[in-house]
Amino acid sequence: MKTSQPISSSLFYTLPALLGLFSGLIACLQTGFNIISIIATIASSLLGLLIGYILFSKYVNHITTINKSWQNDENTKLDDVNAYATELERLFIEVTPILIRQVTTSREHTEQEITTLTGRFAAMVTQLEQLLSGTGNSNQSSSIDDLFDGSRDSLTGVLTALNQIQEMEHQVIEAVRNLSTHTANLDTMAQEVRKVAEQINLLALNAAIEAARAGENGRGFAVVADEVRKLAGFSSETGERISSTVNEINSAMTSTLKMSEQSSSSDDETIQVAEEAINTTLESLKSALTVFKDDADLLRNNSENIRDEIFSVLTAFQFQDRVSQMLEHVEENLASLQSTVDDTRQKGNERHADMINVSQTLSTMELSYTMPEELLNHSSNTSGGQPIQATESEEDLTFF
Amino acid sequence: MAKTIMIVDDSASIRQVVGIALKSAGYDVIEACDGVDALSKLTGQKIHLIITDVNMPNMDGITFVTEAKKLPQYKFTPMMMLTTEASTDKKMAGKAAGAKAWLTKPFQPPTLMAAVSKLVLP
Repeated sequence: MKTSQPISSSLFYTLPALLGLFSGLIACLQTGFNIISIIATIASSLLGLLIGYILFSKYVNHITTINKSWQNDENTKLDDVNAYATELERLFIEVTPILIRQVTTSREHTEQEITTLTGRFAAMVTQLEQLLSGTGNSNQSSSIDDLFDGSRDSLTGVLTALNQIQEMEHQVIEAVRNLSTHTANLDTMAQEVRKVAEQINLLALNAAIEAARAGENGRGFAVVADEVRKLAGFSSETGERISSTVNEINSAMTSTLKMSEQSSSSDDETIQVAEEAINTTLESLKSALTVFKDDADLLRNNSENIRDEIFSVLTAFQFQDRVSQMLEHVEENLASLQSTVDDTRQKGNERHADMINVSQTLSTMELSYTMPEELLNHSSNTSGGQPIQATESEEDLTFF
Repeated sequence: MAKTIMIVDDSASIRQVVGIALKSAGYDVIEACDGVDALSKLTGQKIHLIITDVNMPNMDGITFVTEAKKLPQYKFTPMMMLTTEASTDKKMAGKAAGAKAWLTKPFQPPTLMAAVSKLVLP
């Protein structure tokens, strides 16, 4: 406004002055340039100047008033903006620590709970490992097989012993039967002895008769013939005694044979029944043990599956590590934002736009990241995108 | 004699998962929660492999590897990194520090065990 004043001020002064001068000059011309008209001309010029001055002052006052009210408006606006900026800072300083604390608490709480949870799962896996290695598959099933084989062998042994006894009984019976053949032979021989004795007796009689016919010369011979007859009689008696003894033996053997045969056949039956009973028992035992083994195998498989499942769950909990890291970065970035704003406040009441460096803040944040999702989320801010879904990131193994 | 492997990570759940995987495979396990703790546990006993995270408080993994390699008994101990980081610069830093392998998290136990059996000292 000041720059336009020189032009206006000269205008304000020169116009009325010229008017006064002009009217004075007209008067001068009219009156032929006499003293009064010249004085009047000078007076009207001065009057013109005075009027110009008054008008100009009024004009300047007016302009000044306008300027002042405009300046007041501007100051009010500036104060408003300053007040807003101060309040915004204060809001930020108040709210950021709260946010940081909330994030920290939830992160720490999650870490704690997941550590406890994974501890419990780890204990379960360890327990199952111990269970599975203790009741080793081959140990259990072979001990069951051994048990069955042992039982079967014992029972079979009993049967074998019984059968052997039975065999011996049969052999005894056979032997006894064989004896009767021998005794039959004995009897025959005894009969023959008696026959021979009879023949000898007859011969001796004949000899005695011939001896008597021979008279005195046959007396010696008759004595011999007598002795021979006595001997024959003796043999015959012996033969009879042998026969009767053999008969006694035979009848004893017959009754023994009868008893043995009876007891043997009833023993056969008993052993048969026992064998059947033993076989039935072994069958039942075998099927019971098979069921037991199958159940044990099923249980073992289930335990292995459960252990593997729990271990997978445990492995899946690795996500917590990533989440914790991301949250820690959020906490750090909020804290550094807070200190940036705080520093600006400390420097006094002046505020300039260049006190805050947005691109530097963004760069610092980028440096704090350790994971690809963080970087993707960071850049999608500029393209206005959705937050990145936590992807099943490919594991990456590099050897150096 | 079972071989000993050290796992260094600030996350308890990671230490548990790795611990169980290693123990089922027959290794003895020493756990540490950061670089400083791990160095304090390297007291001269034979260690056949060290697995370490990168981002840890007090001392990060790459610094730890560098420091551990300075100890005479552990100069030749193989070391592998297990971390969420996958950037090439970090990997190069790891390689320069002396690490033999770099595995990103989350990992599958079979992959870890394959790397372990390849790197562990005989």
